[in-house]
This record gives sequence, C-alpha cells and structure tokens, in this order.
Amino acid sequence: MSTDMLSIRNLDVHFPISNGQVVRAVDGVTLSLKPGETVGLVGESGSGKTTVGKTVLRLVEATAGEIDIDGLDVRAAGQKGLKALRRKAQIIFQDPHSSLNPRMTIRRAVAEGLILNTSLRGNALREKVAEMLIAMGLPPQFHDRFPHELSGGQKQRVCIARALVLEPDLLVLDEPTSALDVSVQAQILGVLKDLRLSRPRLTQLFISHNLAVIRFLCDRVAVMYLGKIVEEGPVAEVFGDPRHPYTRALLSAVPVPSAVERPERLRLTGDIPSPANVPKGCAFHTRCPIAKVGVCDTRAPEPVPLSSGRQALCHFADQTKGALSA
Amino acid sequence: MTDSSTPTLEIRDFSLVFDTFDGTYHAIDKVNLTLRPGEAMGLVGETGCGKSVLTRAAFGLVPTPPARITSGSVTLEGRELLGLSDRALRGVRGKDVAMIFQDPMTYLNPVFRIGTQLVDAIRAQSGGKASKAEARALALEMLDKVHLPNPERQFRSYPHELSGGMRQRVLIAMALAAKPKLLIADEPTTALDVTIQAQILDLMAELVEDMGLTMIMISHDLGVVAQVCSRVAVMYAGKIVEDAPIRQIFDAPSHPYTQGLLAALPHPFKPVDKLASIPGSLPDLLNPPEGCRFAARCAKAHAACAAPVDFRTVGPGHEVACTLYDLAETKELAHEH
Amino acid sequence: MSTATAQAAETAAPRQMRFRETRRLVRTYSRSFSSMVGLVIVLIFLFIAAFGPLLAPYPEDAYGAVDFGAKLLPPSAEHWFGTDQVGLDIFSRVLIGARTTLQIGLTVTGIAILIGVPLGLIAGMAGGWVAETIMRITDIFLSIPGLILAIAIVGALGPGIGNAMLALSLVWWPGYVRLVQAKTLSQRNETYVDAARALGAGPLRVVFVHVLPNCLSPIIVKASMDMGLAILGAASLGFLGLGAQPPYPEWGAMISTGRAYLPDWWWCSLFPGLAIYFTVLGFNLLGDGLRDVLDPRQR
Repeated sequence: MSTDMLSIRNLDVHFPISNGQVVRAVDGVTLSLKPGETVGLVGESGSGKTTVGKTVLRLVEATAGEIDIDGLDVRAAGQKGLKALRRKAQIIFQDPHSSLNPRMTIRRAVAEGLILNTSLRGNALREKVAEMLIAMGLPPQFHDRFPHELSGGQKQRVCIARALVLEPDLLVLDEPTSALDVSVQAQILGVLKDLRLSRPRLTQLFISHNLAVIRFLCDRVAVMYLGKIVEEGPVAEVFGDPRHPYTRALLSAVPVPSAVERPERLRLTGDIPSPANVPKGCAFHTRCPIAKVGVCDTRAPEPVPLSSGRQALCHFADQTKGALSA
Repeated sequence: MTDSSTPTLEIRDFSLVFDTFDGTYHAIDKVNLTLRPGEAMGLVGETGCGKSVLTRAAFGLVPTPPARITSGSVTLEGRELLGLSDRALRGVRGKDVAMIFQDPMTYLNPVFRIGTQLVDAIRAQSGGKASKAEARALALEMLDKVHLPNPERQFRSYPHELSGGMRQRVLIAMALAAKPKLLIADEPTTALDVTIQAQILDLMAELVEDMGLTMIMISHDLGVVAQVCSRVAVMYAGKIVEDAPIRQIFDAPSHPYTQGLLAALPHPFKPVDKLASIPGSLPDLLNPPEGCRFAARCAKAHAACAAPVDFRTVGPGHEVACTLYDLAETKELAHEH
Repeated sequence: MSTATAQAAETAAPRQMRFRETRRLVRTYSRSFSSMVGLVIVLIFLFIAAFGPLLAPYPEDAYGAVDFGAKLLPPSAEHWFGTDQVGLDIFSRVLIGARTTLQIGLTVTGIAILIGVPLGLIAGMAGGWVAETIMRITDIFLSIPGLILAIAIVGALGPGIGNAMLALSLVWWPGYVRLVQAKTLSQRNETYVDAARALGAGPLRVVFVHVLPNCLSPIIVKASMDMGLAILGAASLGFLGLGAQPPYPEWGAMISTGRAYLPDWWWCSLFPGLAIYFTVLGFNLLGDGLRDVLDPRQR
C-alpha cells in the first residue's frame, strides 16, 4: 500500500559467518508505519532490531524482502534512488560521541548533509545550519566547537539536527537515549516528542530496549526476539495486556522506579540463544513458560491476528488473553 | 539490628580531590555514610556524581596522586582503613570487602578456565590455607548458590563460552566465596539485557535476604536499586543529598534533585505526557559553590542555599541536605512539584 | 519540555575554550623532559640545516677544496672538530652535511608516505582480493630486512646519494601500509562513518573527509620516528660506500672515510658520528613525545 510511509515486507537479513553457518539476524519481518506515526521496535541483544533500522537506510544490505519508503523501492534503488533516499530517511545512533567525526566542528557536521544533497552554499547554508542548531537548543556560541567540547546530550542534539536539516519524512532512531543520563534523556525525549507536533508528517521508527521510553514516545510497538517480530500492536494495549509470553517477560523484567502496580512477575530462565543457532519450531520455546512439547519445539507459529490491529506470533495467542497480564 | 552494634562500614566526613592541569577538582565533599550489618544500600546518581570514586577511594582503589584524600575516616567494623599500607588494604579487599563491576569479562582472565580462576581466587582469599580440594568444593558450592546451571560443566569452561549473565554469576560467586563483610556492586547489571538483568537482580535480592549480605549497590537507575536495596543514598556533584528508606524515596522524595530525577523517568505502565527535565548542568567542581551544589539548577533555591547545607531529618531514617525543611513556609514549597 | 529550557540548560554548561585541547597537548608534551630534549635537538638540527653554509667557518671545504697543508689537524680553536686527511674542516662539513641529512630524511619518509598511505587506505576500505594482494605484497617486503633490501637495490642501480634515497624509500613504505590499513579498518566501523553514509557521502568522501583526518596522528608519530631511522639508514649506506660518495658532505660517508684513520685520528669519525647520534636520538625522542600526546593508547 502506498499510503504507508515505510513498509517492510518479509525482510530477511542473513550474515554468513566463518564456519559456513548463517546468522539470521532478521528473519521474515513485516512492519508498516503510517505517515506521522511513531513505532517502537523493542528487543534485547541479538533480536535484530538495529539491523532492521540499518537495512531501512541501506547501511546494511537485505538478503530478501521488500522495503518501501514513501513509494521508493529501497532495495532496488540505484545511485539516483539512493540520493532520494538520503533526503527521505535519516538515522540517529545510540552513541552520540562516536557518531560525530571528532575532527569536524558541529557546524560542519550539520552542513555535510546539505552540501551532499542540496545546492545550498555560502551564507544560505550557514544560516540554515545555524537555524537548525538553534532550534535544537544549541546557541551560536556552540557552533564552532568540536564534539569533544560538548556534553553527551548536546552531542545528541547535534546528531538530531544533522538528520533533520535534510527534512526527512522518516527518522530511524537507534537507541538514541541509551548512552545518556536520566535527566538528559528526558530532555532528548522531549525534543523528539515536540517534533511530532512541529512536523506532523515526520514518521519515526524508534529502536530501543527501554520499554518505558517506548511507552512515552510511541503509538505502536513491535517486539522482536531472535530476528522475528513476536508481538505488535498499540503500545498501551500491548503493555497492558501482553499476549506473547516473551512480551510479558520483558515487561515484568523492567525495573520500575516505584512501588506501583505492575504485571505479575514472569521470570525467564536461561539465556538468549545465539542468532547463529536459532532453536527449531518457535524460537522462544527454550525459555517459554507455556511451551508445549510436540507443538512449540516442532512447528513454527504463524502470526495470530488479534483485536484492534494487534497480532502475536504464538500458537496460543488466542488463549492468553488476560492470562498473561496481572 | 540494634543501633548499638558496630556499623559494617562507616564513612565520616570523607573528602577527596583530584589535582589536575586546570586546578583542584573537588570530586567528593564531606560525605557521611553508615551501613549496618545486613543492610543493602543503593548509591544512586548520574555520571560524574562521584558514586564510583567514593566507593573505590574508600578501599584504596583510586591512585594517589592524582587523587588526594583531604579529610575524613573510613572504618570497616570499627577498623580505620585510611592510612593503611597498600599491602594491608589488599588484604582487606581480598577478604573483607568484595567487589563486582559492570563488565564481568574484564575481570575474568580469558585464557584460564572458570574453575581454575575460582579455585585460585578462593585459595588466595584464604591466604593459601585451603587445599585445592577444599577450594574446589567451596567453588562448586558457591556456583550452586548463585544458580549457575550445570556448575560441574561450567567449571571447565572458558570465560568466552559463558553468556554475560553467567559471567556475572561467576563473579558474584567468586566475590562471596570469602564470606566478605561487605559487597560493593558497581553497576552490576548495566551491561546486561533486560531479562538477564532481572535474573541477576533476583539473585542479589535473594542473597541479601538469605545470606544476610551487607551490600552497597551503585547504579544510575533508581528502578534497579529498588529491586534489591532497602535504603538509598542519592549523590549529586560529590555530595550525598538524600538518604532514605527505599519507599520513602519514591513516596516522599525530599531533595529537589531527587524529585527532579524521578520526574524525568518515563514509566512503562503509565501514560506520561511530559517528562520534567532538570535545567542546567553539573557545577564546575574546580570551583564548587560553597553552599548547596544543586542550587544553581534548583527552582526552589533561596538565599539560605548559598551557605553550606547540613542534613535535616524529615522522617524515620530519612535525611536530606536541603534548606527547604527549616522554615514552615519553605516546607510547603518543598513538596510542591 | 520546551526548547527554551533546553537552551538554558545547555548554555549553563561550563565554558570551554576552543584551544583548550591544543593547550592541554602542549602542556602534556612539555611536561616530559625527554620529549623536550628531543624537540630542542630537532630544532637545533633544523636551524643548522637551514643556515649551515652561513655558519660554517670554511664553507668551501664542503665540496672538496683540498688543503694538504692542514691535513689531519686535531680539534683546535681554528678547527673545532679538527681536519680530515685532505685538510678539510670537519666542523664545516658536519654543519653543511645537516642539510643533506634533512633532505634524505624528508625524501625517504615523504616517498614512503606517498606510497604507503594510499595503499593502506585502499586496503582498509576495499577489502576482498584487492586488500589481500596489497597486504601480501606488503608482508613480503616486511619479511626482508630493510637495509639488506636497500643494499641490493643500490647495488643494482649503482652507488650514489640519489639512488640511496630511492632504495630506502622503496623499502620504507610497507610500514605505512600496515599502520594505515589497521587504522582505516577501525575507523571504517566507527558510527560516524555510518552516519556520513546515511547522509549520502560516497566512498571517496568517506575516505578523505572522515577516515584520513582521523589517521593523521599515528602517521605523524611514525613519520617523526622514521626521520631518524631513515637518516641512520642513509648513513649506513654511505658508510658502506653505497650512498653519498666522498667528498660529498654526508655524515655516513665521512665516518666511512675517517674509519681508515682510527684510532689515532679519531676526530675524523667521531664528530660526524656524534652528529648522527644526536639527530637520530632527537627525532626518536620527538616521536616518542608526540606518541604519548597524540596516541596515548598505542604505547
């Protein structure tokens, strides 16, 4: 459907590793984002969430599947298509320190995208860059500084400015606040939330392991485990009544900074399997408290559609209503 | 627990500076901390607040110079630690005080098997008195205590064959084998995934409850501390600003900085429309303000904040370093947020 | 949160000066006594190289003005370093030889960088069979002792100062390939390279704007050390009679000639030897100091 800003269909990203094995980092992911929507992609290490984000920007090549950004076929894009892609979609990374070239002033860093993609030069370029940096809360006396002269929060503002100055419609945010302190995180989350008002068409794919941050910022959430989306739906409903046992375990593992209501504890035993060696059947059955022998360890589940646009990748998603929540 | 018992750890009036190119950096300023046996205390603060430096310096793990301890005392069960020789301090660290850190891989030698490292550590802790067989038995017992699956097999594994969560379990086992009087856990779960973090926090809570472990847990995350600790001290710019039972911190945070931290946290189970953020940044610790170090960022700051601030008791076991609790009219202001 | 509060938040950050980092580097460097000794030696050397012919009491002696009447005189007020077997003032020749030495150091290091750095960048960025080919050839060069290879090359080309420099350059570049390739590999995986690609930067821009500037510190450090080593190499070739030919004022060749007059006329060899010693020492101390400042992790 062309009404989606981003549409990912049956995306596979496989990496060959040394001994002939293949890491199935992303395995059959389907996800779409409407214009102006913010969707959270949550998962632990090895879930493939970051790979999805990078593949959308063609920073990693997909193995199979389709990616469509506002009518542009990302995987088939040639030189010209890629150029268009850079203006349509931008990415912000986790560590603001390492995502800025240490030898460039922040003015240069923000100007780079404009130099590469527009004919803006000279004073017009300077003004546009300054305007963007100021809008991100960095007054002019900062503009000629180098990244190491800024705090973590300031650096992340620079990264956001660098991405937004190209006026993209799609922003991929890869754990943008994980490396920041709580009070600085609150500032950056505020900036991102404000963007939703000031740029109603801006669509955000927000990748994070932090469920509280996802809840604060996102409309919908997709939960990933070992390369697959195991549950998807509106964030309040998924967090309120998780239907996949993994989602529930994730939610009950969040350290909540208060004594308030929270879902009943569900502790997983064991570790996350290696994505190079994904368990047969349902990938989660090795840690799943409700797995049934003969079903979950042999048959891979199909997505089960649930009410209000939700779905869960579990053989028993129909039966878990309410049972998995508090 | 009676008040007359000797505290496990008592830090009095502890100040530490770093001599740098740009001048004297006042990293820790007149910190007081008392930990009673069996107590698990969280030490919470943001980057640069001095929480790690404090606990490391107290046990001689911060190189001097550039650091310099300018005042104070640190006693472990009544024994003064400051001024002890390096050798004596090593003895204290190996036996009486154990530490675990954020990245377990850094503290395991990649070329030796887990078992070898555990046995060696246990024999070193015992001063060479334990035989190999005794050490091995104790190591297996400890691995069982930290719920490492299949300890016999893991005994023969190398560190890289273990997951992050398992490595942290091994380090906890190693730390606890000597039956230390105090465990310092410095961001023990920060490098772990959420579900693994939950497992390790459960384990630590269990150890505190069942083994009567006395512990200081350093974290930037109030939520993490809440899973394990019964008390929290909040640090800001080298000073403890609030020290309270864990419930009190959430139900009645008293220092404006603590209030700000809590208001800045998004919540996974509650819709939050706006997060409060704390304006400004850390004070310049090369020239720290004489009074409250948070005053410059505090919306409720007033004239009295310019003078040095002592602790006031605002509830049972709840102390706060804030002038707002002195006068009737400012008291009301203190709890408005 | 409004932008206004954020702005207030960020302006309150401690004021940092633009050149703070540079000042810190200078201070770190000047703290080390040996680094400062190195810097002083190198500065003196550069001064002599620039003004040697003007400073020398007998500038004409540099290029073979024979004066048998004054041959093999010991050091004196008139001839500070004595004179050699054909009556040339050694002090003058050492001063004027500094320029030759600098020329050798710069040429050898310069050519090595010009060959090695691009190859290293290509090997680091390209990967695959291109990188394999470059790196294996580099390994072959590195597996043969440099001076021996240089001797072989000069042997084939014929002795002379020009050929000596050429030979040394040809054995010097592989070190730069290794260094730059390793550095490029690590830079390539930095997030800011990904960020630049996401902004639409092509491979050339990534290399020249993002990767190369961040490889400069180790290249500078290695170059300053190599200056000393190249000078030593050229002196060795000169000593073996494969480099500069007498009476050309080159320190290695001077030692070589003076060797025949040891030990009675020791000054013929000693003073050019000391000149080499101090120059090489100076560049090495300078390089050490720069490494401590620019690349503290590579120690």
